Amino acid sequence: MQKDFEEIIKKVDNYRIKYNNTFRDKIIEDMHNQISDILTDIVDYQETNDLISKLEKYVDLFLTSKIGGIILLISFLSIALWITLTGAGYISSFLSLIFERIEVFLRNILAVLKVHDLLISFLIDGVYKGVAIVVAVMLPPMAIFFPLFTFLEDLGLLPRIALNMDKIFKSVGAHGNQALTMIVGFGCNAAGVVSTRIIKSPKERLIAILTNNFMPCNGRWPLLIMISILFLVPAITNSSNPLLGSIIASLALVSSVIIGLGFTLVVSLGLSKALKSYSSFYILEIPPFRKPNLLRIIYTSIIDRTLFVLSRAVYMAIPAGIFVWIINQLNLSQTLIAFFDPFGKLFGLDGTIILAYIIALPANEIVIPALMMLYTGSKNFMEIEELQSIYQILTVYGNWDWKTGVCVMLFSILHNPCSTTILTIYRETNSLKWTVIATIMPLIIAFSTLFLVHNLVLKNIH
Amino acid sequence: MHTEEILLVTALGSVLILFLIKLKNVMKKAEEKLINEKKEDILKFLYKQLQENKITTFSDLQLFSNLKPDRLIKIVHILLREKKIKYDNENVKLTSEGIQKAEKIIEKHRKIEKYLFENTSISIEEIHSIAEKEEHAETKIPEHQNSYECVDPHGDVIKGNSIPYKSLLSVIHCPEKIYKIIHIEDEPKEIYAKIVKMDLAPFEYIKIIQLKDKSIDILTNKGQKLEIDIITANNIFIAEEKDENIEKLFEEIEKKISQISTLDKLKIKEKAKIIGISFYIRGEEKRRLLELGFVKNSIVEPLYNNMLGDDPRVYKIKNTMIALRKEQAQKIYVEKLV
Repeated sequence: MQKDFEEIIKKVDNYRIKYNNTFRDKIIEDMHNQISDILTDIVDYQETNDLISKLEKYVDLFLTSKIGGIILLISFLSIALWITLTGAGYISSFLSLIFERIEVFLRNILAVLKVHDLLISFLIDGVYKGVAIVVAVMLPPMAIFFPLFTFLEDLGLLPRIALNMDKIFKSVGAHGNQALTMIVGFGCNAAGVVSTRIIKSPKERLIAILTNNFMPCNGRWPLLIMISILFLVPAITNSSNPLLGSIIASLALVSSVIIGLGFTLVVSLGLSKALKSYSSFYILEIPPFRKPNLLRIIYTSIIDRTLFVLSRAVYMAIPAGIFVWIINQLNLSQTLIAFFDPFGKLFGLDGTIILAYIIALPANEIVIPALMMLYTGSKNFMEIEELQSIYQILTVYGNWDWKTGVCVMLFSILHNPCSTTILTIYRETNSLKWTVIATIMPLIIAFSTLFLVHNLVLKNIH
Repeated sequence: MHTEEILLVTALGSVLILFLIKLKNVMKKAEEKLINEKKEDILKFLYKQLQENKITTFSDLQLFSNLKPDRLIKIVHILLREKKIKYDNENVKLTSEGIQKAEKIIEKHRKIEKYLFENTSISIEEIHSIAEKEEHAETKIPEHQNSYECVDPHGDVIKGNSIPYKSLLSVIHCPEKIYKIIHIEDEPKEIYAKIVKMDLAPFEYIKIIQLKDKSIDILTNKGQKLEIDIITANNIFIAEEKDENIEKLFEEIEKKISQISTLDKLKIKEKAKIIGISFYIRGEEKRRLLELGFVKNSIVEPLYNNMLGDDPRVYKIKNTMIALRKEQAQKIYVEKLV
């Protein structure tokens, strides 16, 4: 009996050795063959030659040709960003109005409950206002950009962009899908980091996560636009022709995207060299063009992306609001500004800008309000609509000129990710090491670039 | 004042002493770890010598382990005390206990290699050196658990005896014979990388076409004609295969040899049938490809290039469109349909 068993086991072992790696392939092969056998019985495949399918083929050929590919990419980016930025302003001011009403309401309730004045100030001026301003500035651009993005994703255009861009990213050791995560990064870096899940190979995914920050997100666009209108346009041209002005401003924005792209590619190359023992693979499904599903767009863009990011932003805004409140209560801001000033001056910035960026850690959107608050010595974030009064404050209180503008723009593109993104990077990589690297590396890059630009280039221009 | 100073000094002193104790512990642990690693390396070395029927002297051990004599003596003493080795006329020999232990270490090494091969994207040339480091006592890398897959990425049977094999170089005569690749040596790395690049892998069949002075011409079961130089051939190990099906397969391949190509060499709109996928497409990548229908006998057709050239390219398979990079398409073998 036992001898029989031993013989059987030996036989099985021999088969195992013989068919080792072909075993699994064989099963799947048979599955596929059986499925296609069944399908040929019940489904009648015909080469469809009607107008639509022909049209689809031509569209595909056009989109993957040189001219078509470039048109697709540029029109996609400019339309999405234009709609987002113009639309967001209206919703944002509407939201701030609502939040002001709620603030008055909350104050009244707390006063009726006879809560101590200091506690009211802490809860309203610290916690509530921090959260309110982050929501008011972050929600609108995301609520517009993400549905737009998901719409085009559903249409099937995005995989074609990824396909077209892959060669560039391959040359720096990254994945073509990184182009998509970077476009999401235009909307929000935290969402961009989450979207790197579409990159299946771990090395490329890590590269995409660590470099996503170099894409200016919605929160940084207003600052970039503002500075290029207020400082770069007058520095380049004296004429007050509005058309010329807007052309120069858009060129400045395009070049900031190109700077971000350049740093993305260089850093990707460095990272892929550093991680060279990991090999990688690239498989991309190209879906057919299809009619977007409205309900799904709303669900994925609002629930999955917008609210997901926003909840993390609120979570990170509370401590920042408390931080600002404490600084204002203790009148620390002037001390801190004086403390950071010599450091900032090294890089063409000043102490106020550094402190504003520290305060704006939870959201890049609040850099401008924080700057206004610190320069004017106000106790609250200041939302100023008038470009001219912003210009007055910056030049009078802050002594800004176009060189400061260039430095701030560069810093805005290259600096560390916001705290929401940092938290997201930690959740996605599950590694403290990479989170720290993702935070410190852009800072080092930003400061060293600024140091070089400020001391070698800008100082020599008069 | 005085009491405060005394307090401060005692506090500092105790911190210093604690630190020193800690440092000593850490160093002791590191030393223990090193000794354990070297111990296992020596056992593995002795096992290899035993298999090759070579005798080992103490000076051989010294040459192999590259340790200071006093440390080596310490390790040998530990091994003697544990009854893993014994002295036999000046020669060092493994006891049966030692053999068991060595086999266990080798098994662990192979399981780690298998795990890295199947579950990570670490490049294939690095797998051996990582496994070499991680095979000792405490490792974070889990071992490969699937019991039905019992061969490591180099073709070695993880547990038990391998099929007897010989080097490809030892084939002196009788061309036109079919062999099965059993084992591929993973050291030195450069030659292994060369073999991987030629896509020769365990479980593939090869037919010797011609023996030349400095190289061997072969035909693989995926229809590739290769010229292997003798240094590389020495690292490929084979066994004779007498199977009618395999012979038939080679006959068919020789008939269709002009139609056989790799996926990346197909022209746009040129339909072809997949005849095989490289062994070195593995893990997650392989699973994806299999899911998408890149299996034997599937019909595949390049549809169009991208904006910047033909890498990556879009292929039509099973009525879906999939984009693959050149490196992957190179590892998929196809037969053009006429």
